Amino acid sequence: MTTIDWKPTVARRRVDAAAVARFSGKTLLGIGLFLLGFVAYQLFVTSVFARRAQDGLTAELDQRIATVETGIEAYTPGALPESPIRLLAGLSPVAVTPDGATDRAPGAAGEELPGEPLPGEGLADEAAIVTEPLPHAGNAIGRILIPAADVDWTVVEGVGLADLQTGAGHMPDTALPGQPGNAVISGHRTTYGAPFFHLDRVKPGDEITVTTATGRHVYRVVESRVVKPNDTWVTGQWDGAWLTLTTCNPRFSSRERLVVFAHLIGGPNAEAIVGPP
Amino acid sequence: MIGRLFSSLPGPTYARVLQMIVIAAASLVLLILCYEWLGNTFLDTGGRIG
Repeated sequence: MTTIDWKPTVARRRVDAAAVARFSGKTLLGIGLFLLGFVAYQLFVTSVFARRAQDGLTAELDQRIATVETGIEAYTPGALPESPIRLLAGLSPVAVTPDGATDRAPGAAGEELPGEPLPGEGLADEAAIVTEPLPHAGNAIGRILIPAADVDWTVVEGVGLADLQTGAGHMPDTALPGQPGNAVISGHRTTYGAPFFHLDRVKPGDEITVTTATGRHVYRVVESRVVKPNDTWVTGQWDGAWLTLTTCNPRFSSRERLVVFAHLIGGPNAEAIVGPP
Repeated sequence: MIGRLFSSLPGPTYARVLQMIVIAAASLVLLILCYEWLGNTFLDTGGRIG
């Protein structure tokens, strides 16, 4: 009669199960620590970097405002195409939700939408505006204040990774704030101090102030909307003086972009570009 | 694991400590680069368009 020795098999199974449990536990612990470190780094450490950079940029901006030589140039209205936001202004307010996303420029299909008259009509054929030299990439160009969104940040020239790690960034090849055209400023929503964390609070009618070497420029918000990351029409150059703010949407995701459009209502160039108040 | 790594390093103790410091610094740099890439790709690109 043969006997079956079952004990070693059971013992080996127990050892295997314990080893698997130990390995699984260590792996999960490692993943947990990695994710914890990721969240801590993105939300807190990067903010420390950005705040330190802002201290230096603020001093640099003060120096730029004090020393840069501004100039006077002629401005001819109508040299740039009509803004699609003019059409948007006549639409009912668009809620800042993914439902508002669009992948085309408003009015691109040619539809005529009733537009609320915006400043810019009845201007003189030519006027003088205050200008400033183009800043170098990475240098401070202005300070943006949005009381409705708790924004008070120094704006840097450029929207590269390194630029946006120091604060909000002005997109090169777009107008400077306070100048004719469309000044585009981008900023982080979640990391690096999250300059535009509360940008969704901004509503039509709110004011945005940008102080540059040419003075204090006041904009009024016309529209907020959610677009796709490759909707480049929002950075187009339009007639008048516009400010376009862009940030990631929703928070903690780079899936879409939240865009706020505002037009100039006050400042040294307002009367020449958009007409008398 | 750190103890096993330390034991496997060649040289006297002070040399092992130095090697451990270099390994830790390199690991930290790699970790931060990984965090940066993940953050810039999935969490927040800075709101750039295009």
